Amino acid sequence: MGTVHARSLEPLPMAGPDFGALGEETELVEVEPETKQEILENKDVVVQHVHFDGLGRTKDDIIMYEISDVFKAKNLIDVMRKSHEARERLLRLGIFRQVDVLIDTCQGDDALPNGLDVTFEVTELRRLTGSYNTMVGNNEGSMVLGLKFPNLFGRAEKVTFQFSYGTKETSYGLSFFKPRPGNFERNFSVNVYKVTGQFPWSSLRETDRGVSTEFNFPVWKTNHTLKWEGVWRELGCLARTASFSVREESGHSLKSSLSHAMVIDSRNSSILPKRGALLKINQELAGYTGGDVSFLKEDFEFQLNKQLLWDSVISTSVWGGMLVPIGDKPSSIADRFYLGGPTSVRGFSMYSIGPQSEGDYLGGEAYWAGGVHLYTPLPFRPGRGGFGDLFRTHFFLNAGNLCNLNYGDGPRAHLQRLAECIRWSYGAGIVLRLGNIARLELNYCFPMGVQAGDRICDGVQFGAGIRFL
Amino acid sequence: MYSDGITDLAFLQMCNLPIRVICRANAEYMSPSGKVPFIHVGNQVVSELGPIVQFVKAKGHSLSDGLDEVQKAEMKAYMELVNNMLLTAELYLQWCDDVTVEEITHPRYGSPYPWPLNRILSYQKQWEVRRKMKAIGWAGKTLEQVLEDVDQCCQALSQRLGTQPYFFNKQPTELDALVFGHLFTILTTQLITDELSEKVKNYSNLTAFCRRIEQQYFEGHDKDSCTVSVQSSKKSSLLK
Repeated sequence: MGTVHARSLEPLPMAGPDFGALGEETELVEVEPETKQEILENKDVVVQHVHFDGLGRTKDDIIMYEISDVFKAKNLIDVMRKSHEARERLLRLGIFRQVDVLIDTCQGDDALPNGLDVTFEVTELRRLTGSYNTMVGNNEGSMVLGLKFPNLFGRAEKVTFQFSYGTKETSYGLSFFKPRPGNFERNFSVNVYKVTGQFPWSSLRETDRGVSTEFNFPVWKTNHTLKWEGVWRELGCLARTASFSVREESGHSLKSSLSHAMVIDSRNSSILPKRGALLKINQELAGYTGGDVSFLKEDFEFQLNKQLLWDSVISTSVWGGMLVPIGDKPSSIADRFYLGGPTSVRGFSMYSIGPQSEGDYLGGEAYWAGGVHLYTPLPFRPGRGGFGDLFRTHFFLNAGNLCNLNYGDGPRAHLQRLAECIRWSYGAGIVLRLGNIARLELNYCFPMGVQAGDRICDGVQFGAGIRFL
Repeated sequence: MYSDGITDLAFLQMCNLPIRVICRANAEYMSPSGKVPFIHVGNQVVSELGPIVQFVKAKGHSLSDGLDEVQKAEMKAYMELVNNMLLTAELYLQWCDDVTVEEITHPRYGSPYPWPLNRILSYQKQWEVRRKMKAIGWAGKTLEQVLEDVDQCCQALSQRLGTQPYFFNKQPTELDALVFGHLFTILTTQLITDELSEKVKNYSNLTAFCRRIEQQYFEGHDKDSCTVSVQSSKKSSLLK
């Protein structure tokens, strides 16, 4: 029998050693010529042993869960496929730098004629990895130190620590993550953090020091997250010229909240998807586990993508949310929603829609926003097959509204308020995709429906971010 | 203790300006300089006695116009004395005397906040005040020494006041407002011991002075446009 080395798997042509055009990502698969040709997929095999080379501190039980399926393979193609899946799952644990799979016939006394041995050669990550960067941004320089302990106790627990020391602010975060052995999608993490933020559109400075713990678990096709968070928030004015409404919000408060989020994501990619849909629903209840902030907050996000002729994609998205303060204390500026900007309703300045006081935007308790986009490849397709594929031209129509509701009135009155004074905009631009995480946009926008107090950015607007309307 | 609040209130009352007092737990953080009280007039915010006096003067009201240069210098000197002695003694008693800190100050300072924020904030404030005390050399003083200093200060004030109704004879000035603010607070705020208020009560002209100002300016007055925000603290009876 020949030896088969497989690094990664793409659908293989079945016609023996003569291979037609291979897929681009398949690495070379060699099969040494045999005297007797056998059709691989019809040969029954039994996986007798699975070996692991290179395990150090990783415990056996989590490995067993990930590779248990390999034993169930019935023929050679199945073995290769299941080994490939096991390799992907081992890499997903985040504890190995490299995983190689070796499939060989069984040797030794107890070897069956159709027995196979599968060997995984793994290289574990080092106990401690670190990174050090310096960052320069908005009139501030900072030094960022990151430390990571992957696989701390041998079962894929991960501890990360990040510390940022800047000319104006310092922030840090420590996080502990533990997946459930055998079921990586079920995991929990505990975080301790201090973050500071400056919001010039509201002349507000916020420092949050908090603890949070969250559980993730899948239910059928959805992913759920349950989280408890306790945050000590300190608000302050960013400038002496801050309006009195913002000045009134300065001070300390303690928020202790429980939240639940549900995500269903069937898109093929999170940046510039071609097909699929996303639905995210989030609710947060604060005040019943301590603290002095009490509210119920609901938030949803929906996106639908459909591919059209000639490589173009039409995409619609809808966002909305509502904040209901419980008790007689009014809502805090740190909990309210904001609207506007290159990542939300384009054509308006960052978070500059809605209730404001002397130029400082105070946010609102209810909002909705929607967008319809048409993405096409660049005209004349320059750089096709390479760099040009990262760009798209983009035609959009955005609309939205942000306001405070009078909760004494009924739902009809609420809908009426949200439907009056709609801000909307249209335009076109270019989108650049950055890896699988972020995107840059350069658009020419025409804002319409502008209300007194909104700040617009008509003409060219640049945006960078992860989440866009 | 809200001596600064009473001072400013008294000053503005003496200027015959209509005021409205609002108590907010976060007044300290709302203030542009971090000190209470502050006044909010139109869309301007001014904090601390010095800037408030300047601001009011710019609007055309002043209490010390009738004084000559020598008297103005004397007034400034006494105001410095009061600030250095009485204010620091009040802070010392509130934040450096362990018994008072534990039983009165921590619960009072942390009262607007939920646990554990009340503890965190009062410890933070205590650390800050103690650091300031160390910087001015008061950290090493004992309670007796502080009370001695208060006594000396009261003696100086009592001598200056003599039998006059106000420090500069017929008309009240900023100094009267300042002295009233501090003495009134000392006399009316409840502490563990009465030693501090006893020191003041030893000087009968000072207690008479306080009662006189209280009766004249704090009973029956208008409330109108501008607001003075005072840090919330345990309310004590206005009449004693």
